[in-house]
Amino acid sequence: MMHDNLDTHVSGHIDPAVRREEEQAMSDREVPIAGAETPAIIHAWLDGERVDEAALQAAGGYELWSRLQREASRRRRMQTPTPVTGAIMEAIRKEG
Amino acid sequence: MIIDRVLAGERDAFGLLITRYSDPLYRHAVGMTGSPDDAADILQNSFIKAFQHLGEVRGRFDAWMFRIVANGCKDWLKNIRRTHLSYEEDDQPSGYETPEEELDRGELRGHLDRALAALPPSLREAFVMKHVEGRSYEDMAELLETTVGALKMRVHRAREALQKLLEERAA
Repeated sequence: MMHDNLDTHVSGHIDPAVRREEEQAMSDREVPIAGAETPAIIHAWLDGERVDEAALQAAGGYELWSRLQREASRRRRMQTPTPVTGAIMEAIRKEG
Repeated sequence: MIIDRVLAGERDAFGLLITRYSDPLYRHAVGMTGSPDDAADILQNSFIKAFQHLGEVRGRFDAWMFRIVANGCKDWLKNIRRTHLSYEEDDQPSGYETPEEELDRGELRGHLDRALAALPPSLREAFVMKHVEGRSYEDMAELLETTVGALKMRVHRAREALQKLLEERAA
């Protein structure tokens, strides 16, 4: 179930103060997670920068991120199921 | 222009906007909620809002539409506490291409979904936009009305948190 907030949500513009408040509220309910020491070369590679291939493959986490990259690539091909787009158009037609 | 046609009363022309823009929006909603069912609800409500307020579009329709969907996802996260995901409970088709892909994703998919769900929403949003939607930092900065530097920081923090969560799970 969705909850509407048309005032700030349809205009497309998000007041920075509202954004900070919302993000803080959302972050507060989740346990902060300490991060791993992901090597800089992994970040650079994932950001699309040119890196030394041998150094990259020797970096900690390379195998994990290679697998995650493949999974992300699959998700990038995900399409909206046809019944969903049909239902949206049907709802639009019923709009007064 | 499609928007002008819709505003002139040609309601079915709105379907062209849905066809053209729904896929990246759907991927964003699935990435943020982890649920194809909830993503479909958010997408439907967002397009209805867009239809009702179409005369207010200024600038890029896709950016305006993205913000409506992104805010719908944030409302969902604020109002429904979800600490784990429920792909298996959903009855919507997943949108993946072949049954083999469904099988290949296997264990990694489940672990990634659970790790993503554990991230704070701002980090999850940045990670999903960068890696699942394949957006550039510049595009993300424009859509989220923030700086490239801030987004790089969020994506890097998201990666580090995900790596730690996934390594712990594998240990």
